[in-house]
Order: sequence, then structure tokens, then C-alpha cells
Amino acid sequence: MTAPLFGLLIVDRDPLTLRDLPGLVQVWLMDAGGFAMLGLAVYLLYALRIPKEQANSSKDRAGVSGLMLGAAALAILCYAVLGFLMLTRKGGEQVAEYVSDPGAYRKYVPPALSLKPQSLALTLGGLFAVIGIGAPFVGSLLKLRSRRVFAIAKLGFKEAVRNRVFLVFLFFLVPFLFPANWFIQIKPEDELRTMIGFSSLVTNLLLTLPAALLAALSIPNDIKNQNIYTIVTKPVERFELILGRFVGYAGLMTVALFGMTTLGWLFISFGTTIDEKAKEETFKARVPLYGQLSYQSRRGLIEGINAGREFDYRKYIGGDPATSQRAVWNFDAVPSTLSNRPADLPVPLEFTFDIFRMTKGEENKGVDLEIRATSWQAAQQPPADPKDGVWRWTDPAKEQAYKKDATELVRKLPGVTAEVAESNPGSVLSRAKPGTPAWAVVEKLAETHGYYEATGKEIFDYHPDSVPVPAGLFRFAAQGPGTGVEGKPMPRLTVAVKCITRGQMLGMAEPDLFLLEGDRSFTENYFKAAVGLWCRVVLIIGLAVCCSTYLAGIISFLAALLLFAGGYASDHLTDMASGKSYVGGPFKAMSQLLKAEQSTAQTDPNSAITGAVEGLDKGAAWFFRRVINMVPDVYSYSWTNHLSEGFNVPAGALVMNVVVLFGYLLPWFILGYYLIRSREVAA
Amino acid sequence: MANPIQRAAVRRKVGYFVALIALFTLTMYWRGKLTLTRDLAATRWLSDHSVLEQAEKLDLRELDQGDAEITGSVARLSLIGARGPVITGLWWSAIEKQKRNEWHEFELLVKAVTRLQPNFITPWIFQSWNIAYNVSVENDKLGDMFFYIARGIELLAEGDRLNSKIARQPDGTKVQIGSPDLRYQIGFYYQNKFGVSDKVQTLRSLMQVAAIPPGDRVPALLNPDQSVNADKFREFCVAHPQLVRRLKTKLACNSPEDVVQFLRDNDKIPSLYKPGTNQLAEPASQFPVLPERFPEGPEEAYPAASATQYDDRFDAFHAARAWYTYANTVVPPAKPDENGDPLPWATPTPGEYDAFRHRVPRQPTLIIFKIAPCRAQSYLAERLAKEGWFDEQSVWSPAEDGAAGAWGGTAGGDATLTAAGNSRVEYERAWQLWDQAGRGQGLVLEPDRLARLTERGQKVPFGGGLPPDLSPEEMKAANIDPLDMQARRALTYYEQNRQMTNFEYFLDSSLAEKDPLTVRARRLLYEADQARQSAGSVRATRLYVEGLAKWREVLAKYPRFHRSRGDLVEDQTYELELELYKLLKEDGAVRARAARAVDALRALVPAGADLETTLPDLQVAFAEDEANSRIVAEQMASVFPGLAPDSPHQMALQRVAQVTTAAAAAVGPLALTAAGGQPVTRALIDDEFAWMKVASRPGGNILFPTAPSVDDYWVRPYVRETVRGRMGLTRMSTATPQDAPPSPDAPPLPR
Repeated sequence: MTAPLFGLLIVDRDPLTLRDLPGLVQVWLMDAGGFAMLGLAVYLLYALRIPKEQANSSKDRAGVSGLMLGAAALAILCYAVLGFLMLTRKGGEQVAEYVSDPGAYRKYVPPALSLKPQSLALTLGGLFAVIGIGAPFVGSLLKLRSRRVFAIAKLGFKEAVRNRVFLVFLFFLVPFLFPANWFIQIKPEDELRTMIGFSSLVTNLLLTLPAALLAALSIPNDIKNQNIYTIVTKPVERFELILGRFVGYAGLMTVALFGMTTLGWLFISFGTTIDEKAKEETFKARVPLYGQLSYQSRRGLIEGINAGREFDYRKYIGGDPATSQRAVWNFDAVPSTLSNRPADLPVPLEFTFDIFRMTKGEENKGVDLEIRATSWQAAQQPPADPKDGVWRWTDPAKEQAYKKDATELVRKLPGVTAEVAESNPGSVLSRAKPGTPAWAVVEKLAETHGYYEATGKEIFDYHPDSVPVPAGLFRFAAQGPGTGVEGKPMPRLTVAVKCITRGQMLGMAEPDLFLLEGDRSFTENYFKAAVGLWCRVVLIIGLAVCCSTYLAGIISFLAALLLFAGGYASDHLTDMASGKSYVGGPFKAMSQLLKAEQSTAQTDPNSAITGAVEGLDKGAAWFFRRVINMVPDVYSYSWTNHLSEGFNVPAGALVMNVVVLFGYLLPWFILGYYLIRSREVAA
Repeated sequence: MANPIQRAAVRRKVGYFVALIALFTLTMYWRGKLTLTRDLAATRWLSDHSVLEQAEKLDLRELDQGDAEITGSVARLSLIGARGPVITGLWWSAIEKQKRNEWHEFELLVKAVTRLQPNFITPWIFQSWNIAYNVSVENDKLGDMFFYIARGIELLAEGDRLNSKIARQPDGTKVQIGSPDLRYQIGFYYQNKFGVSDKVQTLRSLMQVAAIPPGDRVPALLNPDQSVNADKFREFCVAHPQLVRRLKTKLACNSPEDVVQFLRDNDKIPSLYKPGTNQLAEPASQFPVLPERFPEGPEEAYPAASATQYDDRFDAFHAARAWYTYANTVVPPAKPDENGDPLPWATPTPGEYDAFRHRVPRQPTLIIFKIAPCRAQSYLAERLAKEGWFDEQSVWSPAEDGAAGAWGGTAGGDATLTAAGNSRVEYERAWQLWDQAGRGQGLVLEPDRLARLTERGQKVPFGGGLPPDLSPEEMKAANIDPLDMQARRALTYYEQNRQMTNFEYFLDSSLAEKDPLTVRARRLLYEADQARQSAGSVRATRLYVEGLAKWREVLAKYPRFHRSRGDLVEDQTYELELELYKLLKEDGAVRARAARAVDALRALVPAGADLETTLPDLQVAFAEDEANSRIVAEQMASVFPGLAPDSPHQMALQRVAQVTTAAAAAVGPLALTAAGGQPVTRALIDDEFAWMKVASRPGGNILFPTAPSVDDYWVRPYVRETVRGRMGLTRMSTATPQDAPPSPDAPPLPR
């Protein structure tokens, strides 16, 4: 039977969790602090240069406090210490490990908290710079009154409603009223996936573009139409203008988003007929428990084979009955949802692998796997003999005890001969199905020895499949200290996958295998995914409002849109900033375009033009390294893939979305605060 | 009364209004929306130069480019000139999605790219290839693979619809024009993916499933308790014998439940029908997608108004042939000679054909393009022969392996299936098509015409090969008659085109294969192969001997088929002989004969000589000899009596009769019986007619035969060596390089 194509979820980067917060805060202080220091320096130079005979209003707009000066001094001191440490090459991070292929796909790892002196100096410098530049801003915040902020917000809201902006949102109905399968033939299992993807795209466009337009045009229009005088002549803080507009438009878009999300959910849940296969795959929210992937063989840890695919997200292990290569997932903890599971409810182990075929193989036949799940008490090790592909227990006594028990229990099963029980009890156990007497034996052995193996599992390329893992294994794994020799902590649970079929290769990435903790409802997931979208909308409103404090309306719109769209090209920008782009930098690309050369064409290293182009590209890389911190991480707010593939959107990651969003917007608000304060909008 | 300023304003406004109306009206004429009278020369000239008129003349209107596509047009217009960057972005995204195996999104993006530039042919071909080949092969599950092949083909068919148009010729007649490349590629995909690809058995079966109404598949075959309904299943087998046979013999569906499971697994594949109903889908949504019915191919498959067209006979080669024929409707015809007969020629260059009416395909070469329908037809016939459907008498029982009753067997017994289509009929059609194409494209020249051309061509002074392309003035200066030059060039292209298309082989093979004699030989050999695979070696040996005897009769009857270009037929013949050798190698008599020979050898060679490889070698040699003797004996019994009285074979028969009569006189009437006469025949074959084992005629004459000429061998020695080498049956040379010392303990080479 055709396995459903569910769960083909590519996770380019893990969602951020609260554990990542310290590292993120440190990096934020480093990055934002750099800009803050620059801003502080510019501000101080400007403020201290104002002649005493200037009007008080000018002096007020560029006030300098002792705190600012002190913070600036401390920040300079910290940066000086950093400079000294860098010059003396002390207290820095260690050089990154050697990698055989620097251009290969590397998963994004969130920054970790560093206590090295250089990092600390940079962090402290950033902290003082932020305090210095943020002091007047914080002072202004203390003067804020929610009554005034909400009055301005209400005004923005009403203006937008009066302008019939909400009519635009009716376009949202298009993907539901005219579903894609009317126009193109979609595989039944892809129906819901396509509908979600398309509606998400439409919602994105319908919200972000009007939001950016509204937010970018509001303050400049107020100034242009002189409506602003009706506000600034009142006792209103300048920052309340920004905040009011921001809250007003964010509120409007929140209402619109909520309306669209509810409408979309109603359509999907009740308004359309969706194929059963699509429902089976997508109309749910799996809660996966991911492990850490490593590739191992008798040589120890290996890198995993690069099969030459362009998208090298997966690495491969070779297939052979006698191979010692395994893809090993380690689970450091066993959640209580699994360890407290009743014995008659096995835990599904789901997986999706890529098969890279070295030979044609047999028609309509997949490859066979051996999947071994073991607890920390039943640790396994690869064989020493190159011809031996069987992994054995690190403790032979435990292995013997397991075999003895397995033989005895299997012998008692109806229909099993003594010969089979004696020679190969595993053949009976690996075919056991939940609910059968044989499964009861599997369950018992797993609970007493922490070992389960499924052999001969046939899988197909990119077709998710699953095996049941006895619940007893998790109970057993949760017991005890979970430490190995010399008290070294060990993963509570390990899953090792072997490809048995000779001549084929099996490719996997970390998220390709997971334990299914449970299922949550699609409805909940649908609304959770909307939070990511909300973050994007709020992001662009914040950017546009802040830009509009200084720039003209349409320019603010374009600037906000450029920054926002830059987020979609963040990978490319990162490549250019790090000099890893395989086509070179912008100047090399321009040179190749002008000379009509292929990107792979060899260049003369001794040519003056090549030297000039490379020099300019280095300069461009330096520029991109600075700019890249200003570009928002738009991708991290997208949960469409999780939703359309039927995976739960983690609530913690949503919280982190909001934290990161406001962390990103904060410097922009500070900038907006200074810009609006410096503008002479009323006499 | 208004003041002067107000009056001036009113006048100005009226003036503007009149100017607006005038300009608007003028543009209506200029655009051709309003027509001027054609009675006056000036207005006729103006009418002829209206935008609409010129656009129609030049075939530039969007509506003239093919089917109008509203959504694509709306999208294009709404991009307000940013189509280029948008398409570039979409293309890039599509490739990224493809890298990540996100197929459903990839396909949507491809759709968008092609819809935004529907009259640009290359993206249709590129991306459809991408889907049908690169994407489909990423799917191990063949139902998924089938889906993406179907999507690739459907994309091309959509491209064809958007680029096919009815154009008005200068004389006012309307002709249908389209892209030959798009149409040809569709045919090629069908032929290649469902005809000769790696996973062809399953894909071909799915193609047939796609043509069966969904309601006649799984739901009709199951009882309420989900068990297989034996009667219904039997009806299904009778209605779809080719499909059921393939599923059982090639795809290991060994029981009706397996067949139903196969149908269930592939219940929702793209098909001719609306999902879940027995109602045909719209032509554009059907798979297999076919061209509209067209006058040049009235017999070709087309989107049927009813399901009756699609019985068990229909397969991908029919679809391929229909598309190839459809593609050929828009390519230039063959160049005619002075009498209007088609001349062998090269692909015409611009200016040499009617560019309004015809299109020259980018690839393949025009002559290969033109014979594509014939090739598809030959493939169809080959496929039927390979699957065991040779003629009207070919039957197959699903219970052939002894599982009686399992395949719908009730009181009436197991189903015995007869297919509506067979290879003989299809080869007959193939021969007609090849012959027709040969005559229509100058691939066949009657002897007198060939002689005339040769005579003329010899007058052209240049050496061998294609003469230089001379202008009329240059020919005049060189005193060359243009018709002589034309003849010379035609002769060169005649050879070249025939060679390029392998025309002779296909024409001769279809001629031979449609002969009932060939059909009989093929069937015997097929049955022999089946018997061999089911370990029935005695039956298999008998059938191989009978089959090869018949096959030699075919080779003798069709010498051009026998000596076809590329030795293909000889290759096949020798492969069949090798199967017989393998069977006879295990024969007790052959083994005993070889053992006796080795014993005799041991007595002759010094003690300690290495005879380890001698026994197997002798077994092979004796098996070959035995096989050929048996084949000749069979020929003597069943083939030679029908030959002309003066043939050497008849004389051999007379000699056998003579010796048998003499033997009967000596040992009694037993020698005249079939069993008693066999040793006599075999002895005579060995002693006097040994040439018959390997050749069709002796060297010298029948009374004093010498070694046969190489050209008379059934399989020439070098072909034998090639086949043996290819199959790894040739022992590697044990000779050591002259300057290398001999190895004292080199192990014997494995056989």
C-alpha cells in the first residue's frame, strides 16, 4: 500500500527555545551595542557642539545627561579592553573545528553564552552603549501614559477603517472560493498542504503590504496635512506618537489577521471537502521528540557520506548486511509523557529517509532497514572486525541475560518451534505486532533489558513510515542515574538505523526521525501558526513607523519593505558577508555579467582587474557583515511548513518569536525616538 | 449669460471633448475595430494598414497563438511590465524547491513560469522533462513516479494547446499550426517512459489502469466482506488479459488478492475519468492525454467521447504514435523531384519551405522525426511479442503454474485469456507504415528510378560524398546540369537517411515478423523460454529445437532480415542457441560423451597434464554439436520436405531415405520407423551434412562439400565471438606476455 507522504518536514534551523535566551541576549548586546555606540558617539558629538546661545528647544532636543556620558566612558573603556585583548590575542574564542567541506550545508546553531574575556568585554561595552543611548529613551518611557497612547492608536485605527482598508482583506477569500485543485491536478495527499501554503501566501501579502503602507504614510501625511499640530500642541510625548501609531496599526492588523485566520480555519474545517489522504497527513499536529544525530561505524564517529546531492541537508550511510555504519539518534531525556505510557500503547517512531540508489534494485521494492532502540542500560558498540556488521552490547553479561530471557519467552509463544526460539528469537520478536502475544514478550524484554529491534523494515524514498517502540523501553530508560563509566552522562535512549540492502545508500538529517510524543489538534496549530504571521506584520509596522519619523512616506515604505524583503535573502546575504557565496561577491558577479562569463569560469589570478574585483568584494563583504545585523530574521516567523506538514508549532518557540521581535524592534524604536525628537514639527 | 471667461472655459471644454471623441474614433479605425470601405483605393490602403489587419497578417494576435488562457493573461497584465524579474524569481524558486524535493510547490511554480510566458516553447519542454524525468525518478513508489510522469506529459500537452492555432493562409484557407517540438516530445515521453524505461512493467500497467473506469476497478471486484468476488474478477481478467498477465508474470501478483491490492494501491492515479466516477473527464484533464482528432491521422487515438476506444489493446505506444503523427502534420513535406515524386533530401533550411504553414523541429533530425510513428508502431508489436501475444491463437491462463481455481476458477474452470491485440497484426500495420514512410520520404527508391538517379549522379565530377553546394551560376560555369547535381545529392542523402533511420532493418523486420511462419517460430521460442524458467528442461529443449528449426526457416526465407544492419538478428539467434546449449550441457548423454572423451584424452597425454578445464570445455562443445544436430534433424523432419526439389536440402533428404532403405534391408523394417531412423539421420548429418549444423548451404557442392562460406552461416563466427564475449562466456587468454616469466603456480581460470 502506498504510504502517505506525511511529515516531509525539512527543518533548516531548529526553533529557538528559552534555553537559547542568554546567548541571544549576549549577541544582541554585542550587535545592538555596536550600533548604539556608533549612535551615541554621533549624538554626543552633535549635542556637545550646539552653541550655548541656541534656543532652549534645540538644547532640549539634544540634551546630554551625566548617565549618558558615564555610560559612554565605560563603553569606550570596555571596547578599549577588547581591543587590547584582540591585539594580544588573549581571551578569544577558539578557532572553529576543521571541516572537510566548508561549503557544505551546516545547520544554524543559536549562539551560546560565552564567558571568554573578549566576549565579555564586547558584551559589557554594548551594554553600556545601550544604556547610554537608551537613557533618555527610558526616561521618556516613564512619561508615557497609556490613555494618550491608546487615543492615538484609536485614531490610527479609525482612519484606516474610514479609508476602507479592510476591503483589501476580502481578497483573502480567493484561495478558498477558488481552490487550486480547480485549476491544476494536485496529488490527493497534497490538497490541504497546497491550500494552506496558498492561503498563507495570500494572507502574508494582504497583511504586510497594506500594513507597511499604512504605517509608513501615517506620520508623514500627518505632517504634510498639518494634522500633527492638533496632537503635538497637546501635552503629548513625541514617542507616544510613534507608539500610538504602532499600537493602532498593529491592533488593526491583529483584528484582520484574526478574522482571516478564523475564516480560513472555518473553510478548511467545514467549508471544503478534503481528501482522506490529505487529512491523514496534514490535518493534525504531531508533537515530535527529536534526538541528536550522529553517524557511527567501527571507526567511531564518522561524518556521514556526501552522496553529491545539490541540497546536502542529508548525509548518507552505506547499505550492506555486513556494514557497521549506523545513523544514531541520541535522546538525552525521556519525557514523562513517554515514560508513563501504558504498556499497551507503544510509542510510534516515525522516520523519512532519502534513498540514494547505487544500483537499479528491484522494481517497486524499497530498501530494508534494521532499527534498534536501546536504553542507556543496554548501550551498544560497533564491532571491531571489519567483516562483522553486528553491533553488540558493551556489557556482554547483559547481552547474555537478554538472549536467555528472549529464548525462554519466545519458546513459550504459540506456534514457535524450540529450534527457532533457540537459534534466532529475534526473528520472531522483530515481526511482532502490538496486541499480539509476541508483542507482550517484546514489551517485557524492553522493560527488563531496555532493548528493542525491528529488522527487515522496508521503506521507500521520501515516504514516511513508522515502527512501534514498546512503552516499557521508555519506563526502563527513565530509571536510574543515566550515567556510564566514570559517571559520564549518557543519552537515556538511543535509536540506531542500519541499511541492510546492499548497494543502496540511506540519507538522513536530524529531524528525519523522531518519537511521536502525541498529537495535538489542527485547530490549535492553525491559530498558533498565525502568531508567526502576526510577528511579521508587527515587524513591518514597527520598521515602517520608525522609518517614517524621518523619511518621507513612500521612502519609508520602500525602506521598510527593503529591510523586510532582505530577511528573505538572509542566507544569501550571510554567504556574501562570509565570502562563502559560490558565485563570488557582487563585483565579481558584475564583472562576469559584463564579460558574459559563466560563474564557474576560471579567472586569471595575476590580472589587475581580478585583484581589484576581489578587493572590492572584500569591502562589500565587510559592508554586508555590518548590514546583516539590521536585516530581520523573517524566516524564523514562518510556521507554514509545520502546519502544512502536520507538525505541532512549539509554544516556546512562539514566545521566543515575540522576544526576538521586540529585541529587534527596540533599537529601531530608540532610533525613532531620537529622530522624531529632533524634528521640528511644531513651533 | 455667462461672462467671457466662463464662455471661453465652456468653449475650451467642448473643444477638448470633441478632440477626445475624434481621437478616440480615429484610434478605433487605426486599430481596425471599425472598418473603412474597401471600395476606394485610399481607404483600402488604410484598412490594410490597421493594427488588427497587420497583426492578423503577421499572425501576431495573442488569440492567434493558441488557446486563450484567461488567468495567465490576467497575471501577465497585472505584472505591469515586471514579468521578466518575476519569472526569473519563480524559476529560481522552482529549482530550489526541486533541490529540496518539495515537489508540490515546485510544480506550482513551474505552472506559474510557463503560464506567464505561454508562447515561449523552451520552458515547456525543459520543465516538463524536469518533472517527467528528474522528479519522477526520485520516487521509489511507482504510483508516485507515474503521477509525475503524467504531470510532465500533461504540462507539455497544455503547452501544445496554448501554442496550436488555426492560421489563415494567404489564399484564405485555414490550416492548423503548432509546435512540432512540443508534440514530438509528448510522443517521446510516452514511448520512452512507458515503453523502454527501467520500471516499465509497473508503469505500463498503471497506464492501463488509468484507462479503466474507477468503478470497474476495486469496488467492482470486492464482495461486501472485502474478499475478492471470483466471478467479477474473472470478468476483469477476460476484459484486461494483458494487464492481468503482466501483473502476474512480471510483477509477482500471484493471486487475485495481489492484483486487487495493486489496483487499490494505485486507485487515485491520474486517469481518463473524473475522480471516483466512471465519467470521462474533459479532454484536457484526461490521462493519457491525446491530441484532438485530426484529418491526417483518422485512425490515431484521440480523446474518446466514450470509453469504448480504450480496451485492453490501448497502451502508451498508441498514444506516442498519435502524437508523433500529429507532430508530423506541421513539418515540411519531402522535397519533390521534377516529376513530383519525393526525393531523399536533407532537412530544409529557411526559404526552402513554407514558413507560414510548416515548422522545422529543433530535434531530432527531420528524417528521424518523420519516421517516429512507424518506430512507435514497431515498439508496440515488439511489446506484444515479448509479452506472449503473438496471434489470434495466443492464449494464456492465469493458473498456468498449477494454482487451479485461484484465478476466478469456479464451475467453469479458470479463466483462459485471449488478447484482442497481437504482434502479428501490429507488425502488419508496422510494415504498412514503414513502407508508406519509405515511399513518402524518399527512403525507398524503385530500381529504375534509382538507376536513373545513379546515371545522372555519375555525371557530376566531384569525388565521393556530398558534392559542394553550388549556385546555379557556378553549376553553369562548371557545365553541370542542375538535375544531375540534384540526383547526386539525392543519392548521398538516400544512403545517409536510410542509415540514420536504420530503415532497412525496420522495414525488413516488420515484413518478416508479420509472416505466420515467424509468428510460429517466435511462439515456440517464447514457450521454450517459459519452460526453461519453470525448470522444465526436457520440454524446453524440445521447444528450443523446434523453434530454432523454424527460426532458421525464417532466416532462409528473409535473407535481408537475417543479415540486417548491425547483426541484431544474428545476435538474437545465437543467444537463443546458447540457451539450448546450456540446457544440453546438463544432458546425461552429453555429459557421458564428454567424460568418455576426457578418459580417452588422459590415455593420450602425459601423466600430470592439467585436464581440469577440459571436461567442461568438452561438455560445451558436445552440447553445441548435439544442439545443432537436433536442430538439423528437426529441419529434415519438418522443414526440408517443403523446399524446392533441386535444393541441396532435398538431396540430403533423398540421401537419408536411401541409407534408411538400405539399413532396412540389412536390419529389418525397424530402421524405417521414426525411432529407428533417427540414428541413421544423425549419423548422416554428422558424416555427410555437417555443414547444415552451422550454415544454410555448403561450400563447393552437395556431393563434395567444403567449408561453408562465411556469408552462409546462420550466425557468422565473429558474431558468435562478440555475443560470447558480451555474455562473459569467452575464456580469458592465459597467454603471458612474452617478456614476462611464466608463473609456476598460476591458478586455473574460473569458467
